[in-house]
Amino acid sequence: MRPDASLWRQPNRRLWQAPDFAERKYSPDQPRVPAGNPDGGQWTDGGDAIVLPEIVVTADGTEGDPADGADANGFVQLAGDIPIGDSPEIPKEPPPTTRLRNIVVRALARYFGPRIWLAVEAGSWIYDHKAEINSFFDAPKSLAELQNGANAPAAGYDVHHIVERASAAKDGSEADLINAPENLVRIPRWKHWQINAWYQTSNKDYGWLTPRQYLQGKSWNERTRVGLDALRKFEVLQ
Amino acid sequence: MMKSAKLRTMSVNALAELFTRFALQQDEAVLACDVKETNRLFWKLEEVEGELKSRPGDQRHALLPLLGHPNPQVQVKAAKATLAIAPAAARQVLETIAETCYGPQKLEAGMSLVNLDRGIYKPT
Repeated sequence: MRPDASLWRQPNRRLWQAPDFAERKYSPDQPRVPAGNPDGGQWTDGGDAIVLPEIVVTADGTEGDPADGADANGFVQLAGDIPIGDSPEIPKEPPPTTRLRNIVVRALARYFGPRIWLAVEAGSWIYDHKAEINSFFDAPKSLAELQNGANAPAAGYDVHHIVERASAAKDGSEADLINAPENLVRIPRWKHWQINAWYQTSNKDYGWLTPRQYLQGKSWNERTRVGLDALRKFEVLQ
Repeated sequence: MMKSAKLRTMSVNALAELFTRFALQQDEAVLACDVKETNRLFWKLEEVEGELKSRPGDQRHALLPLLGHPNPQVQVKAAKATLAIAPAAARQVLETIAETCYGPQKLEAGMSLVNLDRGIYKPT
C-alpha cells in the first residue's frame, strides 16, 4: 500500500478529516536495498534516485524506470509504507528509505509549520533533520543578509545561485557574473532543493517548458528577475 | 504511460478521480524533490486535463470541487487546470496557498500568480 500523501496536508486545516486509521505494517516480503549501498539492508520503495543535478544525487532505491512495475493506470506500488495513525501521527520509527523519510518529514513540516517541535517527542528521529527544519522556517531576509551569509556556511543552509548556473552562457562569458558575490545567497537547504526542483519541472506557465528551458537564452536581467521572484515567493527574500 | 484511447473511454467523474490520484502521487514526488517522477506525473495530469477539456462543454468543470481538496498539491493542480473556466475561484486558491502553505506548493502557486500578472501565462 502506498503512503497516502493526502494525510499530510496544509493549508486548509479546517477541511482536514480524519483518515482511515487502519493499522499498517511493513511487510517482511518487501524488497531490500542490496548490501554495499548507504541504505543497505533496509526496505526499499523500489523508486528512482532523487535527481537534483545541481545538488546531490541520493540513491536510496533500486535502479530502473519509475514506470516499471506500474499498474494499468501508471501507479507504482511502493513496497515501503509509512506507519501512520492519528492525524498526522509522527511515526516513532523512521520510514525505511531516505525517500520516504524525506516525504514524511517535509509533509510534517508543511502540516505543523514552525510549531512542529511542539508535536515531536524528545528523541524522535525527526531531530535528525533539525537543522533543515529550523532553517526552513526562517523569516524572510534582506538580499544583503542573504548575500553576506554566503560566506558563512551553516548547518541546514546551502549557497544558492540567484541566476542558475545551468543557465550560464555556454561560451563561459557569464562565469564571472554567475559566481559573483551578488549572485550568491545562503538560503535554507530544503528551499534551495525545492527551488532547484521547480526550475527543472515542466510548467504550463512557460508553455509547458521547465523554467530552466524557458529561461535559456533570456537576458541576465530576466533570469535575475525570475530568480529573485522565486526567493520572494518562497519567503526566503523580503 | 496511459494511452489517450483509454482516457477517452472513462467517465468524467473517473477522470476527475484519476486527476486527484496523479496529483497526490505527484505531491510525494515534489516533497521528495524527485524531479523525474514529478515530470512524469505532470504529463499524466496534462493528459487527463486535456481529455476533460476536449469533452463537450469543457468538462474541466469536474475539477472545480478539487479546489477545496485538503491536499495543497491537488489544489494547485486543480487551480491551474481551471483558471480558464473559473478564474476568480482558481486564483483565490493560488493566493491562499501562496500566502499560507509551508510546503513547496507555496512556490509554485506564488510563481504562477507572478506569471499571470505579468502576462507570461495566459490560461486557455
